[in-house]
Amino acid sequence: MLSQVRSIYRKRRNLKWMYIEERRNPHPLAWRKRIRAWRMGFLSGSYLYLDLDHHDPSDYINDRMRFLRLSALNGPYAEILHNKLLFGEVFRRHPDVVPETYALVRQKRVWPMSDVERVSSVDGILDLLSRKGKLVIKKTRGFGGSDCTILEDRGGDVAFSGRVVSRDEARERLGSRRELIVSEYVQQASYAREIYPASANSVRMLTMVDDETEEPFLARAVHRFGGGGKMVDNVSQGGVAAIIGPDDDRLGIGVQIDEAGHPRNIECHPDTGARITGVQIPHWQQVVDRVLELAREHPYMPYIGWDVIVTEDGLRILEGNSNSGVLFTQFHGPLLADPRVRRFFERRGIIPSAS
Amino acid sequence: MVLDFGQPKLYFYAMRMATRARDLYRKRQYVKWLIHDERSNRRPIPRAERLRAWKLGFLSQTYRMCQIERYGPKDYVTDRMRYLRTPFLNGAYALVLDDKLIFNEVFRRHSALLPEAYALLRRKSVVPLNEDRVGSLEDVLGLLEKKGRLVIKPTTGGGGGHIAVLERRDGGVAWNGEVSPPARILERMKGHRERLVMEFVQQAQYAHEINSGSANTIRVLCLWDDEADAPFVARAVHRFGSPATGPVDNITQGGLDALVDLDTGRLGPGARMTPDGRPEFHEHHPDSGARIEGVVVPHWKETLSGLLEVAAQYPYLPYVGWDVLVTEDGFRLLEGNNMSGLWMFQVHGPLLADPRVRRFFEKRKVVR
Repeated sequence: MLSQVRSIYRKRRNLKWMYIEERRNPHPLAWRKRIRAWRMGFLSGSYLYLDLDHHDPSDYINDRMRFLRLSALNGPYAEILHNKLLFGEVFRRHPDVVPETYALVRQKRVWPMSDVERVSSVDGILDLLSRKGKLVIKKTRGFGGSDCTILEDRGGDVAFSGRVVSRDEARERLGSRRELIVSEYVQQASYAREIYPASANSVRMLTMVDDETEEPFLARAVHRFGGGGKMVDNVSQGGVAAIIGPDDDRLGIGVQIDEAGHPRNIECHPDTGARITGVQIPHWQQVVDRVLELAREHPYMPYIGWDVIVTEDGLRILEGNSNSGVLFTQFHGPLLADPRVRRFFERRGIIPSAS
Repeated sequence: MVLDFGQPKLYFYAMRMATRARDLYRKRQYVKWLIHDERSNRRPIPRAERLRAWKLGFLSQTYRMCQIERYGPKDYVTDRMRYLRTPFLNGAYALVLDDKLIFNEVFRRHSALLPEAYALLRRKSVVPLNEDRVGSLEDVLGLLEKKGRLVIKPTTGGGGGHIAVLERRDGGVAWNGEVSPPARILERMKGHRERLVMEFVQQAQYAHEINSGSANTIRVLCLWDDEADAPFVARAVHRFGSPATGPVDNITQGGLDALVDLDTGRLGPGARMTPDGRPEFHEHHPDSGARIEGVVVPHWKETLSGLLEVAAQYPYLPYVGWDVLVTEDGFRLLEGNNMSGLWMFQVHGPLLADPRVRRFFEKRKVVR
């Protein structure tokens, strides 16, 4: 009994996220189906988006696994991925791929974190903003794109993810009691800007370790694009997810969630009309090689969902996720259909072994 | 008077209860350690004295070593504060110090500061951590052949326990001085705990002369000064092992601890615990006979400024007990401690007598 309470307490954060995610689902689903989804381990949103009325759920990674078990894959080191400051600290020895963290805001104080730009006050952040044009602020904890705000300099005033406020209000919002990090804004490559310019369109690259060769491999790469006028590339908020490859460096069919919550295949972006399917990702092979190299250099985290921005001359990693891999990464097919992925999860007790 | 049992109030009380329960749950590990440390003090101390110590918030060991009976509890940081409040000073980032692998990952960007970590030993596998690509237990032995000595250190847990020095010797490999055939060493490396295989750092000659069998480190207590917005060193003590302590410099097991003068790097007399748990100050190391008092730590100023320079880059770690090993040409950082032992500092006088230290602890409600 006590160990059960302890186990629930330990997973409280993940259970909370799961609950929030379930409540966030804006699409109605009949109670009968909702209960069916829960029994299968899916949240109602995932059930709809993955169209499980028509697909066999057995090859899909479900939400129960995602929220309650996937973090265990990285053991205590999952914390490196959960905490964005810690992620930056551990990965800052790869300066070519991690955006610069300029400052940490904590208890209404600003601490400089960078050797390049020394920012030690809220005014320092605003000065840096006027020089750089754009900055990103993120909560150190949290998940999903909702914790990320883009700061923009608009001729003296400041825009918080598009909403313009006065400098005084900006000062007040930046001097937060919550823990925030201020980091560099990464300019994405032109192909991604052409498809949807308002958001930072990232690629979720899921890496795992192949138990046979003990080498990391790329299980799936899915490019996300924003949509619906939003500044985030969140698929549940009008965005589009398009698979890359796996055999070439071109974008495949895009998937968008329609108003009823059902997936819809598209070839062009619904807002901008720009073509998605067939678009070539610049220097994709180098991007894959570099991400696999990073996975190799941090072997104590065998399961990472990297959020990668492809830039004109390389890549930047926005963050890593420890319990990634349910929704949009499976729009184009279940992950467990790949025997390497199935083996990875089986050996670690996430799914029961077939044999 | 109207009593309001309306919903918001009930909610408020429920939340307060939940917070308390959570608080207790969070502290359970430290309460457990507190009890464990008291129970493990097997020195003959009368129950009445133990009770007096507990009443004042001290463990019986600290009470005797810091001579509270003689000097009074004023200005001492008590064990109650240490176990129940100081572990939370670094917040979520305590993990950076508590887990040696994360510590290594965060601090390895400073070149030549940390000993090299070669591999992580896990239950079934050996995970290579650097370009030497040590991927199996046989590779570890191969590396030992090349390097001569290696250190095996658990990723969690403090106090120097379970640290082993592997040494290449004729006729086998020595595990903490005990020679065994390689097959036995391989067996010992397969333990359940997660451990790091690390470089053995050669200490400077002065420390080697005082006690050659252990890595004799300096524990530097670094706190954050909110007014100056920079870290400062509250106190530093040099610890020396003895034949009884093996490869570590643990004082409870028979080591010595000498105060380092922060301005000059000059060592004071070494304090050693007598069989009845009281301090005994020695000018010379009682086992090797080498002089301790008056010895000046080489390049102390550079060591201190180098350490502060590193600490200043980690404002989210306001309270760290650094373990520094002085080498012939500089210093290496062996680890940082989130909940550093304090009696090793306070055996030389209370910490809170320094107003900056008091301010630090008062502001963070460690001292109320």
